[in-house]
Amino acid sequence: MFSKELLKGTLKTIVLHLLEEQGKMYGYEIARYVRERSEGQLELTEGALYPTLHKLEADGLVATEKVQVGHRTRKYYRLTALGTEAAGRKREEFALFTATMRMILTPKWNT
Amino acid sequence: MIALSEHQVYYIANRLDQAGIDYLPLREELLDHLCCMVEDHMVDGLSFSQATHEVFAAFGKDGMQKLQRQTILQLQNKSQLMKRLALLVLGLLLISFTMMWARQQDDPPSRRPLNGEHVVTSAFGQRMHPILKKHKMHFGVDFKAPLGTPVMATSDGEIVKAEFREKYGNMIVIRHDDTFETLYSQLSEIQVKVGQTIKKGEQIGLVGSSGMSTGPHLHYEVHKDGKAVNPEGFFGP
Ligand SMILES: [Zn+2]
Repeated sequence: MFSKELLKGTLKTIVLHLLEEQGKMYGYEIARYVRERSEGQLELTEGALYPTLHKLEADGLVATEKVQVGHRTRKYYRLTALGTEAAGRKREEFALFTATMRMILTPKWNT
Repeated sequence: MIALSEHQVYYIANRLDQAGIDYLPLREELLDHLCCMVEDHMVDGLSFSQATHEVFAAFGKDGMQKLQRQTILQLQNKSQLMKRLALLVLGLLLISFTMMWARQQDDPPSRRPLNGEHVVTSAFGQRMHPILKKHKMHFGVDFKAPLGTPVMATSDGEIVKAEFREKYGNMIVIRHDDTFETLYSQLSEIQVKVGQTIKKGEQIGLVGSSGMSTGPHLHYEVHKDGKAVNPEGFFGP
């Protein structure tokens, strides 16, 4: 399990990427998918996931759609054009970040 | 696959209400989320009541409340908080503008301090002092008038000074508002007291020659924001 702080900066990136990849997803599906795909290493708590989803919606990066499932309503999320653009940007940013971190954290030998 | 019955969903919705989840955009979504969790637990072999217990225990006592607060707060973070800040700044600006406008709306003392026509023997500004024979700034207007001519307040206000001063003689100062004060000096008699409120046109004293002066006259000053200005600029027709 990773620390809250570490996850906080990457949560939007994860959600945007998954929505781009999967088309449309609902909250619980995202949480379960992340858990399974990370082989249990990553656990999105509801307290982190839903505020993020609602924020993305308010910012116009995702659009929602409600579907009646059994005796309850399910809210699906999908990317808007703005969201697709943001997903690409976030991925690039994160790739650069990890590369930079690796540069810093790799032991440097004085020759 | 297990799908909860209407009754079971209703039960979980009730528990949500009890937990104080009343933010509707989240409530509906959270209900689905909890139902999914319960269903997953039931797939693993738990009964509905065991699964429900398990799910609500996982959130803790106020975990849901916290989730609701964070969801609302997150939305407010930028858009609403900035809007509120902008509104606050706008409000403050509006208040200060209104106050400045109100100040400018303060009525200048437009009445003349003496009834009838009186010769101005010394106007406002630089002048040769008749006794000191030196160039000096004259901070008021001198009206020539017979001894005992009634002197009137030029605007509503409160008497803040009524006393004898060596050069001014008997003098009165009236504060009209935050902007204007008027001063009447060289009086033979003061007919008001400090603290008294006074109406425009009300008699406050009599013309005299009590200070350093050449003959009976009224020396009249108008102070705007604490600075002497030409009284003749304010007189109405
Ligand atoms: Zn004078």
